[in-house]
Amino acid sequence: MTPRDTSRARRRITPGPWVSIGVVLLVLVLWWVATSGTEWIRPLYFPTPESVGAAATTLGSTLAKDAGATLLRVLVSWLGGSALGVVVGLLMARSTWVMYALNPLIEALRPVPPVALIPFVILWFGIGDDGKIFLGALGCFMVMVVNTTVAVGNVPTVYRQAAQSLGAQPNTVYRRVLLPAIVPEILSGLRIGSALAFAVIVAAEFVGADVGIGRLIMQASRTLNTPVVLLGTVVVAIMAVLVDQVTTRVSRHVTRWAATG
Amino acid sequence: MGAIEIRNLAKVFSSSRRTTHALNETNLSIGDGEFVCIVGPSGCGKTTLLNLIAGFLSPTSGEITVDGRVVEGPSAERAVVFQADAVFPWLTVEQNVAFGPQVQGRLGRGATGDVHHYLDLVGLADFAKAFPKELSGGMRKRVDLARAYASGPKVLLLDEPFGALDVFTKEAMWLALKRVIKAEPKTIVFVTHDIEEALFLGDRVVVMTPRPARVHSVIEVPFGPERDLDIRATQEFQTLRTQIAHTLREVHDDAA
Repeated sequence: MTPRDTSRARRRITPGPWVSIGVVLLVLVLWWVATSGTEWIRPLYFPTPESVGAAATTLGSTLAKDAGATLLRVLVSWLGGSALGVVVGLLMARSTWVMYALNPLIEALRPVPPVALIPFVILWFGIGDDGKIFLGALGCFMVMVVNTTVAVGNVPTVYRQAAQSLGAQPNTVYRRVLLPAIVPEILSGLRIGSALAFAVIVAAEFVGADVGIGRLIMQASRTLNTPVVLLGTVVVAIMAVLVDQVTTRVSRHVTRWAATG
Repeated sequence: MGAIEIRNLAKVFSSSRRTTHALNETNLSIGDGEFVCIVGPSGCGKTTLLNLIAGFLSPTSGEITVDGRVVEGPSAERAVVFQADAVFPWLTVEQNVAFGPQVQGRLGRGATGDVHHYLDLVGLADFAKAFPKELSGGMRKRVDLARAYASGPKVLLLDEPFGALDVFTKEAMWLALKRVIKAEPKTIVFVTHDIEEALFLGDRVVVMTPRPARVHSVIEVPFGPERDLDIRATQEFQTLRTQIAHTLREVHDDAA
């Protein structure tokens, strides 16, 4: 690198996390300006930051309970559904019998949005945790089955051949080559799954729930209590971002060997 | 130990649309500790032959034996270095090289045994803990070579292993391979379409031709075991090279 290049690089402003933080702060300021500051937007259509803050304080432990219920449903359905999806995906990839038997069912169910099943789920499970977890898990399961079968198909044949010619028996090839090779794709399936689980679970809570952020939002919207509606949305967003951050951190560590890390 | 006998070997690939004679009536004896290069244009069945020896494919007719035992599938006695990058990216260099001994139960998981000896041989002692993505293509090939050697094979099969490397890296790899073989002799079958590579490395060069895919001729390389890169400038080398090139061009034109 020539000295001229270095000086140029020093003068140029380099992007970094500060850009993201800046944009978030800008949105918050614009929000305040447009609502509290100038009242360009009527508070009913979009509540002020102060009113959302006030709603959070008023709700207090109820909010925590609703958020906790939603988060627990998400985590259970996400991890459970994904784990089952990986297992079934592996079975399908391993056995042509299982593939032919399950593929039509999965391909038919996959495009159906899980929320379309809410009426049935309420009939079958009632409005408690079970039905919501079932729906969230179903969504994650579908994502993961497809991700896993595709991932197995993408494992280069040379890896298997190399392992065999190094003396690995079929079970060892499976355990020590196939499984580690598909980990990056499994983790990216997990990321898609967590966002899906939040969407499906909150939607299911809209329709019927005794506790949960979805219930909170729906109840508040009946009385046009828009600060609480917005508060619920923000809480879902924050939880989803946190879960995604943890997933990303973990997967970055686990797949630090992968070329794009 | 590691003598290969190939007798009346043929391989036909059949699909509903057509049948392809990938290899016709091939006979070849490769002595223990011999370095045999197989050259030929693409489509002449040289990779098919190697995959048959490796046991990834089974012959349509004929047989292959190694030390008298018929090849019936892949085995640790026949290690393979592929043209494609076959080093496991999720394992460190050290773990890659330890893979063979570990899966054969000769080495406990996490133990390294004589892994470092082989890393030394290929010149990668300083990179034991690195992941393959941190290495260049040439270095990954060295890992592959060390891994194949460490698995303790009788026979080493190389399928255009340096085909994707630039000239200088390729020459460095030739010398590395020579060094490793000198330290620990093995029977070697090396497939390439590079005549120079075949003449520089091989004790014998097998020329294969397409349509029909078969062994055309076998050339004894007269240069002895010690060769340096400048040998390529000698009259003898160039004569052999031209002779093989002519043969390949002829059969290629016939087929094309």
